[in-house]
Amino acid sequence: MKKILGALVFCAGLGLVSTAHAVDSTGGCGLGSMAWRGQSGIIPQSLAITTNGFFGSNTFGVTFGTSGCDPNGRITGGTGRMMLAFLEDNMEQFAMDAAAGKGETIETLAGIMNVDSATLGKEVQQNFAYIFPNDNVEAVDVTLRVMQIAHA
Amino acid sequence: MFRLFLIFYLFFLSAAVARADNLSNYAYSNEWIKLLHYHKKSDSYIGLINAKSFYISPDGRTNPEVELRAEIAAFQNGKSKCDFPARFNALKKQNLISGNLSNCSKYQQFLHDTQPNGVTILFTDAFMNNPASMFGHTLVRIDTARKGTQMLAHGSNFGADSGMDSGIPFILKGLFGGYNGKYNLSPYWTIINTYNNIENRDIWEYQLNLTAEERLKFVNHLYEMKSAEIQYFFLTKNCSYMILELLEAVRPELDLTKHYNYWAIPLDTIKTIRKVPNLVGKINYRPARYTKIKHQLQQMNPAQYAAFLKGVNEHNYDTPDLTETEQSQVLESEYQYYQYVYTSGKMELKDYRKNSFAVLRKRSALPTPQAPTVEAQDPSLSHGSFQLSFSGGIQNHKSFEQINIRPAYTGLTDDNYGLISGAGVRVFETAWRWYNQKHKLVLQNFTALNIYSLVPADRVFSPYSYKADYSLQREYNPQNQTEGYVANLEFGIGKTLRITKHCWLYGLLNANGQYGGFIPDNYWLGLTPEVGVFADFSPLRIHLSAENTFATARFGNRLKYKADIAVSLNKNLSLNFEYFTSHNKRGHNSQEWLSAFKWSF
Repeated sequence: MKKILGALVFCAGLGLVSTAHAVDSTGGCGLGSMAWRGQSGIIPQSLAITTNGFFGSNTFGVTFGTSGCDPNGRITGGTGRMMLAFLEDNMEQFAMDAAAGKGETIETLAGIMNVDSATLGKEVQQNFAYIFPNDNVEAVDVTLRVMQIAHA
Repeated sequence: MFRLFLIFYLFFLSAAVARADNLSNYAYSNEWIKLLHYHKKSDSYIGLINAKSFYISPDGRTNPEVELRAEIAAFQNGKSKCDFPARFNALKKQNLISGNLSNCSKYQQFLHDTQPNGVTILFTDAFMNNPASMFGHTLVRIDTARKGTQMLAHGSNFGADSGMDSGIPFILKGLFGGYNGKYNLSPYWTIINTYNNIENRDIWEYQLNLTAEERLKFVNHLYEMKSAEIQYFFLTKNCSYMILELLEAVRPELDLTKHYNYWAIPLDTIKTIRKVPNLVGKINYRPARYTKIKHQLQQMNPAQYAAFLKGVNEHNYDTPDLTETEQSQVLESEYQYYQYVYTSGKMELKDYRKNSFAVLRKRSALPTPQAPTVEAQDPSLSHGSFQLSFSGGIQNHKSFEQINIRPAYTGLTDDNYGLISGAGVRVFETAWRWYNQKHKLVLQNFTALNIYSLVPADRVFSPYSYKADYSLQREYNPQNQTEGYVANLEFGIGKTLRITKHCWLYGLLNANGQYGGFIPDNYWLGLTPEVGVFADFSPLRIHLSAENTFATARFGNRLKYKADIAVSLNKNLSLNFEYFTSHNKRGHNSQEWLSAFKWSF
């Protein structure tokens, strides 16, 4: 019994694997610090409409999935879908990087959009209040505004 | 003519025999054995993977050669090859099959999504004060060639599929192989979020120097393993052990798993990988959110610190006295602090949004300062976790020699390069003692578990410190001057204060008890206030403590003083001087001196 109890804590350390796994198994997405995301959490089905609303035409060929989540837990899809998936999970880090004008999330988004990261940093900092108009903003809106700013 | 025919005939026959010979040679080659995770058990082989689909032939799990022949036949007919790209490539390289994988759409999609161009081993450090994380955790990352950063890479975690189990059933099933382990895949950014931002654990990235062929083989093999189920044992066949198995499959001449028949501590496996010449390349450190905030607070000048406290306590972010750069540093720290508090469940979502948004609004109007970089010590360069101590001492005028054997992990006064200062975890330590006068060898102590976790509290973070002990000990009874065995159980909680940067004062309230036929009434329970000092002037470390026990039985009532002074000669060698005295309330005293030479490896 003594051994078992001793082993208990030794293993609990390794047991965390399981806890982490349990968290991951929620779909490999939607994890992370998503407290900023609107309460619904799920991307509205009218996304395509929103897209058209913003860009008027499909100039950029944006095709979003219904959500950034991939059942295989992989990063997949085109620019828009990848950005949405990324921002859904990293909105808070991005908010800070956007406020500062630089950071890893800006470099990542610049990579996805294939634009210069320093320029993007400046642009998102200058347009912070536009990208984040209130504390209840949806990832999808942030995605669209960042794209709009970057391609403007 | 007939002779010529005979010669040809013999030639073809021998070629066929040679091919058969080559085939059975290859079936037992390092490459094949390790790629399919066979392990030799006396004369036979058994595959580590329990999933039936992992071996094609019904006898494949126990017969490498039957499996090889079955796979050649299957792959040649285009069957199953898409599920096993690493095996397919290995057999093709041996000229045993032909064809390619271009029609395997799922596999091609996998390559398209991951865009692999490297392999990195990840070690997630312990979070101080979280005993469950003390031994760390390891994962692998498939580095990506995508534009941007490695946030777009994919991490793979090997974990027990424990369903909804928790508590004791979870631990017991985990210990004795009641779960299956499985690999999963997720974007690296979710791994960063899980460990850095939710669990507040630092991540260390060890990039491997692999050839292009090895890199592809690793990724392909990971793809094969996605359906694999492996009986999961917390101590042995765990996350860290499996990474060694993967590496051996990719580079068969490596022999990494042989050290891990009994237990695999994550950090130890990283050390093993680092010992292979030139295997580990670039090392990158990714501090946890908590680490970053702590670091930023340390870097602040007094005015910034005051502004930070005003901000997070009163939500007043007006700081006219600070320069713009100083302001932005404070605001960034405040934002991260709100995230930390919210993630710990100590702030409502509504307040969190309002506060963090206010801070960021202000921040976005300021210029960009240089981002502070956090320096840290590589945990894989810490001292060895196995320790032998050789000591001599005097207990109540009797001299003795002693050997301590400690399989894991680190003592409070051990060298702490790469580890957390103020934390000690000792597991399964055994002390054998030889008394010179009596010519007697005794088991002096068996410590199943001993933890000290001293974490200084300050005005921003105020964590608890605690200690725990579960051990079997030879105890001296001064009343009748005899010795016997008792079981100790102790748990205590309290606070630590920083007197100076290197010298801390702590107070704990411990609940403790002893059980054993040797002591009057067989047991006692007690409450023990403890005060102590921990000073870390590396290479000199001092731990002093005083404890006063109020127990249910007179035998337990005692006042104890302890001193442990350690001098590190290098990371793995140290000299210790320990003193301990116990005053029974009836005036029966016992005391012990001990000097030790400790060797970690």
